[in-house]
Amino acid sequence: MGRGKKARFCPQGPGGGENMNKNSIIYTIIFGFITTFIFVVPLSIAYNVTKPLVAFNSEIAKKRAVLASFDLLDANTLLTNEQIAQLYSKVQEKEFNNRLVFVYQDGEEQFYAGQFTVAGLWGPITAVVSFPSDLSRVKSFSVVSHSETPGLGARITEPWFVEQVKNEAFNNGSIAVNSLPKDKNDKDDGQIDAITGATRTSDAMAALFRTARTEMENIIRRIQ
Amino acid sequence: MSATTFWGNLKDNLWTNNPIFIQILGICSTLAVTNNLVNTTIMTVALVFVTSFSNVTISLIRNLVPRKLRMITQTVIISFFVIIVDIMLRAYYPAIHKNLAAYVGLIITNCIVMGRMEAFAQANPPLISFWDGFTSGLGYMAVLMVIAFVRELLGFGTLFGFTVLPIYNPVDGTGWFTPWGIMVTPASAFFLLAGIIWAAKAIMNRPVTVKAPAPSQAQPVAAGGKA
Repeated sequence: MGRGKKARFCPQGPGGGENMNKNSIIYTIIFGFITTFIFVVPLSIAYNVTKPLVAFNSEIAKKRAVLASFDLLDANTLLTNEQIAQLYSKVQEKEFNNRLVFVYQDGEEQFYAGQFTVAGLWGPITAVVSFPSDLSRVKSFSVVSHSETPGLGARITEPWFVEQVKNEAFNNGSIAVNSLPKDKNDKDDGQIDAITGATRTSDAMAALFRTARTEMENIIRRIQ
Repeated sequence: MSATTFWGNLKDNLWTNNPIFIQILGICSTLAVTNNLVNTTIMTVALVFVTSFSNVTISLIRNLVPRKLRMITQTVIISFFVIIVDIMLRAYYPAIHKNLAAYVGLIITNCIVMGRMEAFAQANPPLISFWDGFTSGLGYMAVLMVIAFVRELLGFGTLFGFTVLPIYNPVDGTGWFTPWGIMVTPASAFFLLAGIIWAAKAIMNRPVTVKAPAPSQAQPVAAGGKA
């Protein structure tokens, strides 16, 4: 009886140990269940245990991005969480229509920033973009999260790319991300250098600045 | 040389049976992540970790796994290690996680990990399986670092982010180096990888010099062999 079953469920021929038939359906199901359980349970425990810490980290990441977009800190400097909290006290958070706006007063001048999301090549690109109050230029920007190709699209977080965006003027409400800008050091022409091999990400960045400006224009009009 | 001795296994995975230029595994990441040495280092170190620990785990349970569930079990184990690395980095090293996130996910799809489990750890004891995973990872690392070295140097004029070849700036006339645009894109890795495969094969298949023939013919053959 037992042998007959073994032959039926085991077309590749007999295998396994002396005492149990590893190829029987029952064993396969139990093994599959136990293995999945053993490997998945620790993962879900690890995920849940670290959840508050991850949420805290993402809050810090948001604050860093806001501070970086106001040029209050270099995105690559290492600061303790307390130092970040202290710096962040200079920034006011205001809410309009469920939208968080960050306001920073630097002497006479007032700067506005908001968190915006556009579609990138592989997933959403979320960044904090800041503006002077007349919205004529981008003050700066800082990427909060993205899933662009490492080494290509992911270079939007590199200092050279951020530097060329800083204080770039809008031309008819947008900034062109071109493969051959006339003069990449010209801050008034509304053109910046694209990333070689990452055309779609470069287009997404142009869309980011355009949408950010339009949305911010609506928000600021309501504030004032 | 036997792949089941520690020295033989090291030689096998680094040279005679290298995962990249002999087995042609893990090519996707070879093309995608090699335009910058920092990223390549991070990716390859993470891969060494995952191959080593996945191999030792599958080796420990190799006598319990039913044939039909073999591959699915391997996938579960690989995913387990990759996700654990991801969760730990996200919670305790958020800065590293931000730079690394995309690479960690890519490891699951790396054929080397499953290839070594299937070809080696499935049939060998835990310790040597761990070593096999480690040396396979090293073989992968060695090739990727060579490609990344050339790509970063010619594509950006830098190595590990430090300027080595000053880039020509038409505005103030400083520097002299014009970066090669193609080195930045994955296409260049195709050419470089093909070059490495060619070079490795040429060295492996070079005519063997006859060492010590029969005494009566020793002199003429030795002279011919050198030529």
